[in-house]
Amino acid sequence: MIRYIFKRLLQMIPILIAVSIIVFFMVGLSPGDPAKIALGMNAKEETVAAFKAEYGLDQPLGMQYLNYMGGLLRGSLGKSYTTKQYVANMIAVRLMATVIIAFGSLILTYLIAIPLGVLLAVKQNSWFDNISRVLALMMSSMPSFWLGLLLILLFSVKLGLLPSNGFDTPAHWILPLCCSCFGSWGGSSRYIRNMVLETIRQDYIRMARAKGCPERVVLFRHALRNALMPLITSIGMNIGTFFGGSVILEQLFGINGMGKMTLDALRQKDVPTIMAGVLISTVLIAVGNLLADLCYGLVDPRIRSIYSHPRKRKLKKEVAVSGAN
Amino acid sequence: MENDRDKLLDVQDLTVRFYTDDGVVHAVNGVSLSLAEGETLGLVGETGAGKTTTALAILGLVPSPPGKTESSATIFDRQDLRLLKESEYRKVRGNKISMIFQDPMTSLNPTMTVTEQIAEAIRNHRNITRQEAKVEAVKMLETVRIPADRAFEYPHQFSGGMKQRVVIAIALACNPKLLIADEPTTALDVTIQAQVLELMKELKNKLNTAIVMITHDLGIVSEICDKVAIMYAGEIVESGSLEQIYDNPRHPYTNGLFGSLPDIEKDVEFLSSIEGMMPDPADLPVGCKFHPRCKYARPVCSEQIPNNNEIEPGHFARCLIYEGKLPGQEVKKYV
Amino acid sequence: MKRTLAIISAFVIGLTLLAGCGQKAGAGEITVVLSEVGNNLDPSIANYTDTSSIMSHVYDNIINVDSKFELIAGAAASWEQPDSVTIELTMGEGFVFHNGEPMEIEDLEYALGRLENVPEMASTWGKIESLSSNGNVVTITLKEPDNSFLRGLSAIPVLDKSYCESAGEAYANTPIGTGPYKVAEYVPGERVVLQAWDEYPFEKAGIGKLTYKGISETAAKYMAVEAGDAQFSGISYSDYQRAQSNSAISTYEGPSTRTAFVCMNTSAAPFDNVNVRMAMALAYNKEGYMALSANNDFVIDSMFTPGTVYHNSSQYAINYDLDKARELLTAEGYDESNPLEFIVAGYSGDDPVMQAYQADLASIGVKVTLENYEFGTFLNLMMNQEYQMLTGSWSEVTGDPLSAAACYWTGSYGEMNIAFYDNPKCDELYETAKTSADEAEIIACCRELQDIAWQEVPLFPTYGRYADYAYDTALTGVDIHPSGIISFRAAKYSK
Repeated sequence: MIRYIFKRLLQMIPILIAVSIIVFFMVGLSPGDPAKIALGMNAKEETVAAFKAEYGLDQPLGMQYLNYMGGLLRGSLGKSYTTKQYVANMIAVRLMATVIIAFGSLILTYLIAIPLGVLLAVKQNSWFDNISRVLALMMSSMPSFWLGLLLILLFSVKLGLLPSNGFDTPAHWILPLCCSCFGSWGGSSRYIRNMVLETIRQDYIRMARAKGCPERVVLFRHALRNALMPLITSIGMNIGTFFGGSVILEQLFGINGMGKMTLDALRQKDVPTIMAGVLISTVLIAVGNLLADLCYGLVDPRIRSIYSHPRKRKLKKEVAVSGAN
Repeated sequence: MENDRDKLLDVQDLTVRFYTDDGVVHAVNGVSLSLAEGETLGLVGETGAGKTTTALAILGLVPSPPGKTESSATIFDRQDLRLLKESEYRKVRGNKISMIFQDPMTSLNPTMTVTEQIAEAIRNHRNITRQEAKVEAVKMLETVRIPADRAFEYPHQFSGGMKQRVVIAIALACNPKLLIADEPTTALDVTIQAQVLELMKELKNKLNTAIVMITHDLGIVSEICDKVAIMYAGEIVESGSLEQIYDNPRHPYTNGLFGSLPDIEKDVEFLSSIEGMMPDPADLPVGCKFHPRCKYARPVCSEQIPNNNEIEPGHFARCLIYEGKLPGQEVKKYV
Repeated sequence: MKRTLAIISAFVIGLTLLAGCGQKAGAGEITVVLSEVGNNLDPSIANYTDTSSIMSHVYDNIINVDSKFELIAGAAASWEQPDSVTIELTMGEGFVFHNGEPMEIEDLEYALGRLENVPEMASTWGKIESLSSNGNVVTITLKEPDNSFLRGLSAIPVLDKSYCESAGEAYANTPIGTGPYKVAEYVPGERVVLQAWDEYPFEKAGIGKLTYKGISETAAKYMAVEAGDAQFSGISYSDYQRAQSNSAISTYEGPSTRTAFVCMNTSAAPFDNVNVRMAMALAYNKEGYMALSANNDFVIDSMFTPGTVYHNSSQYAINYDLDKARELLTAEGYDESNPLEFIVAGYSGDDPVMQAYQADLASIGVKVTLENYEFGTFLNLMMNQEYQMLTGSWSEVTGDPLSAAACYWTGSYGEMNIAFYDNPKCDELYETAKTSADEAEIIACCRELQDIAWQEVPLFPTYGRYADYAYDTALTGVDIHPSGIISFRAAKYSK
C-alpha cells in the first residue's frame, strides 16, 4: 500500500512539469506585456525598462522558464509582478479562507444532501419527492451571484442578522457557504436519492429485510453504504475544483481568497502568481484523485483485496480459526 | 388425512394485486397452500407465475404502496400473520420463517464479510454479544461446509455455489421452522446444484425444517419434495402429494409440463411444448386462465372459472373437465 | 492663606496643562470600504489610489495637492526654484515619526534618494541629476527643467531613513510614518487597521480606529453601508440614487479625475486625414449619449483637468453635428459606394455609448465594428500602432497639465500620445510648458494646445465622471479629493 502511494506521488512529478511548461509558455506567448500592465498604460519607458530588468522579463522566454523552475526547486514561488509580494506570502494569507470555503462547502453540501437524498428515496413519489424535483432544478439554476446578493440583502440589510462581508468569524462564513452549497443541495440530494433507489432494488436489500433487519439498518448499513461508494470517487475527483475557489463568492462577500488572486493574476499576466495558482491546483487534483482511490479501497472490500498484503490475509485466517474454537 | 392442528403453515385464498399507473396487475389470485412441520412443498411453475410474489406475501415483504396483499387466512405456527405489526413481523422473518433467493451473486452485501452477514441474522433475533454471534456464525459456516479460515472473507471471494451455501447458512442461522427457497439452484451449475440440494436435504433432516421449494425444475421437485403445487397465472392449478402428481397428473398444464421434458429413451424430432406464453398478469384471460393455451379448451372455458376440484383425497385440480363441463374430454398423461 | 491659594492654583493650572498635553486622540471607530486592499503598503510601489488613500493617514507626502490641485505644504514647508533646474525644499518643523524619532533633513533627502531602487519610480528618479542637503534645506538638481517634477512630489512619502535601512524589505508593510495614524494590523489583500497615534505632534485624529476592507463588487459595497457593517464607501450611481431615500445614510457626489476619450491612430489611414477625424468628432453626440451610461457622467471639453488654471474651454470645441460630419466625409470621397470602414478597439466590455455612436455613424454611411480585447492584447495593439480607433480612459491625480499636454507630444508616443500625433508646433508648446519658469507663459501654452487639439482632433475627450459616496450620517469632516484620495484626518464620528 505504501509503495502504491509512493508510486502515485512520483507520477505526479512529470505531470506537474508538463503543466508548468504548457501554462508558462501559453501565458508568455500570449499578447500583452506584463511590465506595462503592472505599471499602467501611461508608464514611462525608463520605468518599464527598470521593471523588466528587476524581474528578469528582458530575457528570452525559455530562460525565464528555467529561472522560474530553478527558483521553484530552491523552494521559492517568486515575487508577484503586480503586488510585489512574495507569492508564498500571498498564498499563505489567502489559504485559510479558501480551505474553509472548500472544505466547508464540501461538508455542508453532503451534510444536508445525504440525509435529504435518503429521505427522498424513502418517500419516493410522494408530494415531497415531486416538489423536490422542481426545487432542485430551481436551486441549481440560480446564478450564485444573484443568489448571493439576495442573501446579503435579506439577512444583512433587511434583517441585520448576519454580517454582509468579510470572513473573520464563523458568523461570516454562513452566507458565503450557503450561497456556495445552494445549487449542490438540489443536485446532490437528487443524485443520492437516485443512487439509493437503485441500491434498494438490489437483492441483498431484500435479503436483509427477509433476515428481519429493522428498516433503519437496511437503509443505512446496507443501502446507504453501497450507494455512497461512487460518491467518494466523485468527491475525490472534484476536490481540486473546490479549491479553485469561487471567485464570484470572493468578490461578492469581500473574501480574500485564492480564486480572486489567481483570476486577477491571469488578467494582469502576473506570471509567478498564475503559475503558483495552477500548480497548486494540479497538485490538489492529483492528490484528490489519489485520496479518492484510496478511500474507495477502504470502503469497498472488493477493491481492497487488490491492495492488501498477503501476510495480512493469513493473519485473518488465524483469527477466524481461533474464534471458531 | 391432514389434521388442521398439525399445519405449520396455512394460507387460504391469498391475493396480491399491484396498483400501477398502467392498470392493476393481478400477480397472485386466490392461492391456498398448507404445510406441516418438516414437510417439503414444491411450488412449481414457469417464470411469471407468481411464485416469488406468493413467497414474499407470506413474509409480508410485498412493497405496500403499489402492492396490496389480502387473504382469508395466513396462519403460521398458530399465529395469524395478517394481524402482526411490522415490528412483530420482523421477529418472525429470519427467525421462524426464512427465505433464500434465486441469485446468490446479488443476495449478499458486497461490503460485509460472510460471517458478519450471518452474525447479523443471529443478532437480529437473539440478544448475544458481537463476539458470540461471530462464533456462532463461523459454526454455521462449517455446517454448510465452508472452512473456518474463509470466515472473514467477502462475498466476491467465493464461487457461486459457496455463496449460495452462505445464503443457506444465513437463512438457517436461527433454526427457522419454515424455509422458503426461491429457485435456490437455478443460477448454479448442475454439479453444484446437486451439492446444494444434498445440503438442503441433510439440513432438513437434521433440523426438521419445513421447506417451500419454489422451482420450475420437476427433477428437483422429485428429489426433495413431499407435496407439490403447480402454479399458473397466479393460481394453484393442481396440488397433491409427490406420487399423486407425478404418477397421475390431471391438469392439462401439468401434463404439458411433464410432456415437455426431454426423454432420453424416446426418439422424437421435436420436443413437445405448450403453445403460447404465460399471460400478462395485468390482462388475464376471462374464465379459466389456462384456456388460451389448453389443448382441450372449449367455449365454456372462456366463460366459467373452474373450482379447485378434489380428484382423489388430497389431490386437487382446477379444470372444468373435472366438473363435467367438458363431456367426453379426458386429459392425456404426460402430453 | 495666600500660600495655600497659590499652591492650589498652581496645582489646578498644572493639571490643566497636563490634561492639555496628554490629550488623547479621539475615540470611535469606523469601517471604510475600498475596492481593494492592496498587497503592498508603499504607495510608490503599489500604484493604486486606494493604497495611497489609506497611507495618506500614515505618511506625510513631501508636498500636498488641495482640491483645486494647487500645491500646498506637506512635509516640506516651502520650496523655491532659484533657477530652472534647481528646487530647494525647506523642511517642515515638528514632524515626528511613529517610533519617536523626529523627522530630520536626511529623512527628507532619503525620501527621494531611495527611489533609485524603486523600479516603479524610475522615470521620476531619472529626472534627478543630484541630491544634497544642508541645514534644513534639501536641494534637488534636475537634469533639465521639468515643471511636472514638483507636482510629482505630492505622491512621494517621507520615510524614516534609519528605520528603512535597518528593516530592509519589511519597511513597506510595517510602515513608520509621520502621519496621525499608525498601522495596527495589516492582512495583505484583506484589511488594514489604522490606530490613531496619541503622540501626534499636531492636531490629533478625531476617530480612534479606521478599518479598511476591500469589496470589489459594487453592489455589495453599498449593502455594507446599508447593513451598518461599514460607515463609508464609494458606491455606484444607481446605489447613490437609492441612497437618497435612506435617511440613515448621507451621500456625496463630486467630480473625479477620470477622463474618457476617443482616440484615433493618426499615423495611418483613414485617420491620417484631419477632416475625417473632425467628422468623427462631429458625429459624437456627447450630450445625447450621457443617459446611456450607467454612471453619472458629465461632458468635458478638454484633456486638461477641469477647474485648474490650465484648463480652457476652447472656442474651437466641436459640437454634435451629423450633417456637417457627412459633408466632410463626402468631401473626402467617402460615400455609399466607398464607405468609410474601421474597427474600434475597447477593453471594458459592452459599451452602450459606443453602440449609440456606431449607430449614429451608420446613419451617415460609416461602417463601424466594435471589438473588445483583453487588456494585454489591447495594449499591444495600441503600442504597435495597429489600431484605427480606440476608446479608453485614465485619471490624472495630481492635476498636472503636462500630462494632458503630452497627449500631443511626440516624446510620449505610446504613453500619453497614443494617437501617435506628430505636430512640431505641439512639441514646441510642450517643451515651453515643461521648462518655462513663467506661470503665465505655461497657461498660454496650454491654452494654445487646447485650441490645436480641437482643430486637429487626434483624440477627443468625451466624459468625466462623478464619483458617488455613501456614509453614516454620524460621520463628518471627511475630505474627499477628486483624485479619489479620501482623508479622515479631520473627520469625526459621533457614535
